[in-house]
Amino acid sequence: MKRRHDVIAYAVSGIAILAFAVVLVFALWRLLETESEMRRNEGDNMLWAISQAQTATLLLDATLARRAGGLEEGSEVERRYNVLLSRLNLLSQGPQARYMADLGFAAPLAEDARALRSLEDVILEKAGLLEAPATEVHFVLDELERDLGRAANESMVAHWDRTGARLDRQREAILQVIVSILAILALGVFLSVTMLRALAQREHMRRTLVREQEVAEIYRSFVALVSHQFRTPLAVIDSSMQRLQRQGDGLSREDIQERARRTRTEVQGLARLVDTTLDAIRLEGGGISVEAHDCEIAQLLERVRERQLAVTPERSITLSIADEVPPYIRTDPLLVEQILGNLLSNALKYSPESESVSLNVRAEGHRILFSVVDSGIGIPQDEQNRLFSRFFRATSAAGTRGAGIGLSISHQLAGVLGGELSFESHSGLGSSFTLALPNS
Amino acid sequence: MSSVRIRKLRAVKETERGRFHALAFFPTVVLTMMLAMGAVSAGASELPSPTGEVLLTVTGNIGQTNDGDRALFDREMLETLPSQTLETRTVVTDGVKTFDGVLMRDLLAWVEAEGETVTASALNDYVIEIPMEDFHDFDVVAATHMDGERLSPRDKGPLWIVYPRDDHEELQDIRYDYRWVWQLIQLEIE
Repeated sequence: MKRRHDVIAYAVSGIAILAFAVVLVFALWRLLETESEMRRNEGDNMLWAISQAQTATLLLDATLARRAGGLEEGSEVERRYNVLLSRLNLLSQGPQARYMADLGFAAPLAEDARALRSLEDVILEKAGLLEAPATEVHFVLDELERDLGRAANESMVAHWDRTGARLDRQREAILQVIVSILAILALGVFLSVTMLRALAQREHMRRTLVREQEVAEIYRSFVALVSHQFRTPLAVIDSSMQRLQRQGDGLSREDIQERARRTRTEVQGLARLVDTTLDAIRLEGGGISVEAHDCEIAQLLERVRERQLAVTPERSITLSIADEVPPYIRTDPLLVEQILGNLLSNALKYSPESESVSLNVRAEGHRILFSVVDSGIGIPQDEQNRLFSRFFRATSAAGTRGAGIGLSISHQLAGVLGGELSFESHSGLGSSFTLALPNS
Repeated sequence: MSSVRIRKLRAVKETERGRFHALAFFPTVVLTMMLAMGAVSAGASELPSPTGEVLLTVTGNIGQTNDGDRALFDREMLETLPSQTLETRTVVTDGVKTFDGVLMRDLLAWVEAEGETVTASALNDYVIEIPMEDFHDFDVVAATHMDGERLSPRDKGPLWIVYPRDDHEELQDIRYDYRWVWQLIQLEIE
């Protein structure tokens, strides 16, 4: 089903691209055709050339008449005669000759021109101007003038017909180009949308893939964690119980106490592990709600310290609050305590038992900074950017028990509170984790 | 002057050998040019009077005259100007034609024409205005011969203003076609 859908999508896109190209080429071709047709202006000046020949004919006739009346010089007649010949020559050359042939006037005009030239001596008075030839000249010129007049009419009709047809063709071409452009526009929109959708889909698929990889990674870590964090205590519990089963009577009271204590420690550890795992899952589901109210900073720190000392009474934790820190902060104390508690237990867990850990508070701009500083094993440089990932545990922490969840949760909680969690650490020298909270 | 140039030319680098043989004609060209300039400058000092039939009359704003305030030209006078050959198609003939004549700008320089427009008149009463810049922008020729044959007043002679239509795209335009005055007899400079 999905594959058939893909095939159809490809086919549609392919057809659209092909149509786009075809329509574009078609529009271009029509435009070029129209443009080259517009360059052709044959016939526009033919009518002018014919009319000029007609005028030259009439003028020669009139000049001859005036010369007969003694009103005109012979040189003027010659000029008029030359001009007329020039006009007739023009009509019998190149494009003009073809045009006149199309109109059907090439032969009559050539005949007229021959008749005229045969009378050249008469016209230029090289022979005596006799009565009969003079009349003949007028007759030839009349004939020529009539032919030219008819040719002019035909030319005008042909020209208008051609112009009309050409305008029709150009209008049609322009309409086709307009329709083509609209089609190009529509296809362009379609192709763009298709492309953008494909890109978005690809991006979505990429993200999905990345998430799937992340999830797979988390599962792998989780499996490793479960196998390590859960099975070790279970193995300890199981072996204690086995001993009790086998040597139930042979054990001294201290032994039994010792086994029970160890079992309980392990069970507590497991319970804590389950709690933090559940916390993480709840946080993931957005199930954390912030209940902010004013709380005294000194008290808050004291509570965190007390709670930690209840678990590790032998360790020392020093508190210090800088002078510029206001007495109260508006925040959710439960979440802050959870974050600081996590930082503090980490600091103790990863530093030698002889070393004390300090919890300092200072104000900086609009923020209050809570720092937990230890001089423990530190975090290797190349693993620092993955420290807040869930289930991630630094290689240096391999010997210490932990789920790799605490810091990840703390980091998320800091965000929920509108603050941020950052750290500085040097392998073998110690670490300093800072929770920055907005000072409202 | 030309000998100095030739010595400079002898010094051209090997890479310019290709251009060098074209320049072998240089002395001839320079000599011809000098002769032509000599002719023009001689003409500039005094325009000779026509001895044969007058083919062209130039009137209007000109510095050189030989008949009142007009400058008259016969064929012999036109032939003293450097001749120019032009190959082009025209709108009234088929195929490529070869025209011989003189450059319009040489002719106008000779009579010291000053102005914006040249009004050309023809034997057949055709009158048209041509912008002066045409003659400076293009090698427009006043042709006396087409395909080696002298232009006759019974066809398009004695003079035909011919534009180098094939060499310039912009000249292939109806708005230039009407400036091709044939049977040219008069130029008025304004």
